[in-house]
Order: sequence, then C-alpha cells, then structure tokens
Amino acid sequence: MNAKNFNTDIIAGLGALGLALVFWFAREPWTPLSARWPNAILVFIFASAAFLLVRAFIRPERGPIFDEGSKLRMLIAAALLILWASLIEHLGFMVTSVLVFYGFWWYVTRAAKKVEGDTSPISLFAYLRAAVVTVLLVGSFHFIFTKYLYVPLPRGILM
Amino acid sequence: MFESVISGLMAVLGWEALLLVLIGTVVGLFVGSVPGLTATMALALLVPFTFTMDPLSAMVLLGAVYVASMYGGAFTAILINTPGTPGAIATSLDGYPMAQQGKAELAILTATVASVVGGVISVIFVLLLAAPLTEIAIRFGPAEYFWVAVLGLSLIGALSTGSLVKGLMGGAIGMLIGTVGVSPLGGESRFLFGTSELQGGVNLIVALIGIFAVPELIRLSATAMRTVSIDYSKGGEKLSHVFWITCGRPFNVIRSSVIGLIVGIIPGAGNNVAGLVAYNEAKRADRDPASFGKGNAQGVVASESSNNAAVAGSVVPLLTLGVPGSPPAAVMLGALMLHGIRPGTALFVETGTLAYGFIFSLGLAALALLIVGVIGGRIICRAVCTVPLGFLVPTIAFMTILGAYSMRNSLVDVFIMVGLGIFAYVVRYFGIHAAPIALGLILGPIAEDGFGMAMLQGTARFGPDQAALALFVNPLSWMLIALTVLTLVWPAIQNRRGRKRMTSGSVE
Repeated sequence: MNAKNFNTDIIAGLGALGLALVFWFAREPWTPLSARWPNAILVFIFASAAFLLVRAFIRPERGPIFDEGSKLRMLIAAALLILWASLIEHLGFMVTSVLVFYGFWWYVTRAAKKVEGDTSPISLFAYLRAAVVTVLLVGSFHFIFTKYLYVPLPRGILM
Repeated sequence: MFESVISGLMAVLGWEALLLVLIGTVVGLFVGSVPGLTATMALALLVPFTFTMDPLSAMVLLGAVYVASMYGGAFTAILINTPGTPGAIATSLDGYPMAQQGKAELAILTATVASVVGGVISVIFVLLLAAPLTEIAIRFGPAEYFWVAVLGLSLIGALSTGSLVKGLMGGAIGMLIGTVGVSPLGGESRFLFGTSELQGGVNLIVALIGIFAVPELIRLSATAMRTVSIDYSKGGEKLSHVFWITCGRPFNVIRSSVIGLIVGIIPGAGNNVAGLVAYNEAKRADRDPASFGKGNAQGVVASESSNNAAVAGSVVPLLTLGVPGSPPAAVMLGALMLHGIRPGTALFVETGTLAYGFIFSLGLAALALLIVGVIGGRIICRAVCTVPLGFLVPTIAFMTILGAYSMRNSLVDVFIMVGLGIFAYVVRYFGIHAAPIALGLILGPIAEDGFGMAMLQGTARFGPDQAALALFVNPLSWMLIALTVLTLVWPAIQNRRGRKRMTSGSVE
C-alpha cells in the first residue's frame, strides 16, 4: 500500500505559526525581567516557521502522515484518554479507572484479534479474567497510593 | 582520613547495612520504573521510617533508593519509549529501537551493567576527588548555568532525527511550555489563558509522561501490534556478552561516568542533563555516529552510566558544602539534619565514618543493581514482551494518568499530560520529535534563570548598557562556550572528514 506523501514543512510551519500567534496574543504588559525570555522564544519560533514556509515552496520535506495503523483506532485511543481524564472528577478515580481500563482492554483485544486475522469472538473466560485483572490492578494501586503514598485520589461516587 | 575511609567501609559491610541496600534497591527499582513516581517522592516518604535508625543506616537506605530509582527509569524508556525518570530520556533514544529489533533484554541488561559500572566509577572518583570537584562546583554562577543550558540546547542537533530546523523548533516549543506559570525573576504570571490552575506552571514530569508515553500508547492502539520483542532464537542474553558490550569500549563508559559525575556535582543541572550530554559525546566520538538513535548499545551505555554517576556527583556538594545538587539530595540533606548532623567540610573530620560509609554505600547500591536488575530486569522485560496487548495498553494508560495526577494531586495535570501527549503524537508526523521538546522543557527554565540573574549582576557591575558582559567574564564560561561551539560545528567537521575518507578510498 502506497502512503500519500505530504509537504510536512508547510504543515509544521503553519502549525508553529499558529501556536506562536496564540502565545503572542496571550502576552500581558509584563516587566522586562518576565517578558524578555518568552519574547525571545516566540521570535525564534516565528523565524523558524517563516523559514519552513519558505522552504516548503522551494525544497520541501515530504512524508506520510498518520500512516501507522488505523486512524479510527488512533482517534478512539485519544478519545478514551480524554474521557478517562474527564470522568475522574465525577465518578472518582477508582470507578473511572475500572470502567475505562475494561473498555480499553475490550477495544484493543478486539483490534489485535482483527489484525491477527482471528475472527473468533472474545471468550467468556477472557471477559471474566479481564474483569478480575482490572479490579485487582486498579484496586491495588489505588490502595498503595491512598494508604501508603498519601495521594488523595478523587473518590467521586464512592464518597 | 585513611582511618575514616576504612571505618566507613567496614561500617557498610555489616549484614544490616547490606540488607538495607538490598531493600532500598528493590524499592528504588519499583519507583524508577513507574512513570510519575519520583526518587524525591520516595525518599520523602521514607524519611519518617528512618527516625529510629542510626544516621548511617538511614543514609544507606535513602542512598540505595536514590541510586536504584535512577536506574529503574531505563526500564520504561527501553520497553515503552517512556523514560521513568527525566535522566533516562537519552536511554530511550537507542534503547527503544533496540527493543523494537528484538533486543529488549539485551538493552535492559546493557543498561544494568552500564549503571553498575557508572555508579562504581563515580564512587571511586568521589572518594579521591570530592574536595577539588567541590571547588569547581562553587565557581558556578548564573552565567555558567546559562551556558550549561545553552550547551544542553546545542545537543538538539544531535538529538534531531531529520530536519535540524524542526529539531530547534521542537526545543523552542518545549522552552515556551516551560514559561507557563509564575516567572522566576519578575514574579508575574505568564500565559495562564484565563485559568488560575496554570499558575503553578507545567510540571516537568507530567509533561515528560505526556510527550513520551501518550504517543506510544496511541500508536499501540492504532496498530494493535506489539512493537517490542525479545529474540529467543539464540537463547537468553549472556551476561558476559553484555559486559563485553559495556566495558569493551572502556573510553565510552569512563568518559560518560566522569561527565555524569561532573554534571551531577553542579547544583541544579542534575542527571536530567548528564545523560543527554554523555550521549552526545558518545555519538560524537563514535566511528559510526549515524548508527545512534537506531539501536546502538553504546548510546544506552553512555546515558545509563552517566545518569547513575550523577547520583554520586549530587551528594558531593551535599556532604562537603551542605548544598544539595538535586531534589533527592535535598531530601537527604533534610534526613541528615533530622539526625542532628550538619553537612559541611567538618562532616568528613568529625563524622568521617558516616561520610565515607555513605559514599561506599552508594557503590554497594550500584553493585546490588547487578543482582536486582538482572533478575528484576529479565522478569519485567519478559512480562512486557509477552503480556497480551489488550492488558498492556490500558495498563500504560492507567500508570500515566495515576503518575500525572500524583505529582501535584491535580486533575489539571492529567489534562495537561493528555493534551501534550496528543500534541506530541501529531507533531511527530511533521518532523518535530519528543526528545527536543523534552530538552527545551528541562533546559529552558535553567537558561532563563541563569540569563536573568547574570544580566542583573552585569547591570550592577558594568552598567545597564554592558550588562551582557557578565556572561563572558569568567574562564568557566569561556570553557562552556567553547564546548558549545564544538558541539555545534562537530557534525560538519565529521561530515567533511567522512567525505575526505571516501574520496581517498575511491582514489586508492
């Protein structure tokens, strides 16, 4: 399968330009002591973004993007991480972690079977084993962190 | 002095001290291999347990945890491309490609032996040269810190895979992220984007977990294929072979250990910088620099020997001046003071047994890594390489979220970690890689502090128009500038030499 090659200079240049503009307009009237360093960095990013944009039209670097594996699975993995971070405050660390961990296990196991060409469904034993492992792993780390490392993990609905 | 050295050695050769070394090594290994758990956190938690111990036993236990946690960072760096500690960033550059080539166990064992050798070499140097090395360390002022950071940033050239401009841009983005929060000199809040939660800035460990672990996690999910493996076709890795890899090129391991020791002595620079500087020097000195970053075991040797040597280095100013060279050393300073001991030059005279015993115990902890690391390393390595992908991916995700949260008990840190991770995953496709961003994050604040302080000193000394002169007046600054220039021009020199060699070869 031939992956399409993109002009990565133009994407990196525009992305860096956008990032630098966001930070540039977030500046406030700081004293020179606070302003000098971030200003210098922003000017450098502007300059290198301009260089990349010029190079993009002369001798651009080209390469495939997001070509490793399935784009859908990539998006779902990122979404699951955001979901995990978002639910902790509401459901608590323990409940969220058990639920998302189990969901992650199901999704990745299914995907791995598909990639290996295994069409059989996930067995009931595998579901049960994963549930036990999930609860044990999350529970043991929760216990160590709250009881021995004094990290107050959010309790959420377990309050 | 000789009597104190002998009595210190004898004090740590008792069964009680040896047991403490072993316990400390196991605890440290666990702490180091979990991203987000830091040596500082582990030491701070252990200090209360040392109240009832005698001062030497307490320091032996804490020292062993510190040494082993530095080494433990290599495990995740090699197996999941996520440095367990900032000091292991350079380890991942060659360790992870080795693991992808089926040499996961070889990479882990190489890291183990290099850590042991680096630890032992540094202890020998500390025993012989503690006083003169401290003399150098106390000459470091703001200008020298600035140049150390610039030297570190010049390594971006060595760390960049692909375009140098994109590497430098990655470094600048890392430095920009490092400016979020309260300014170290002006005291004003910068780039809060309307959220007071960003006042505390972006925590280094949280950012590192994000930019290294999350992209790997997304990639594993997207491909649904294992990326690291062990090649069992030739049986397990033999330790003698690993020793040959590590010590077969003695110059690399000795040079890296000495770099680690010196960088470790400089308060504030620490093992984060040591591994990167040693890696760059190893790459520069190697006959085949192009093989670095593609699974060259000498890269792992350089990084691991130097970051473990930095541990002994950081205790030199602690013991001789009472100035801790790193955050974990600061906790150890607290532990010493809790036991009624005030570090300083008098420490070696009044309580020589304690001072030398502690230094020897660091060497013993390094040796203990050989036992704990080889056994634990093989187990962890085989577990990561054989555990089903369905469990591996959520376990990594769980550890990253738990680690990010526990840094400051903050959910904002979890969001920062996930956000930076997704950002790092995306920009990697455009040629901006994680290592230069990490370098910028680590060195940006050091450079800003050093530059600002030097300019203030320069204003007072030379007037506001010539304040920048303060950056150039000290011979140590000249040395660092020369090293920076050398680092920048060396690749060009090497290219030219290579071309000449090729031309003469074709003529013959």
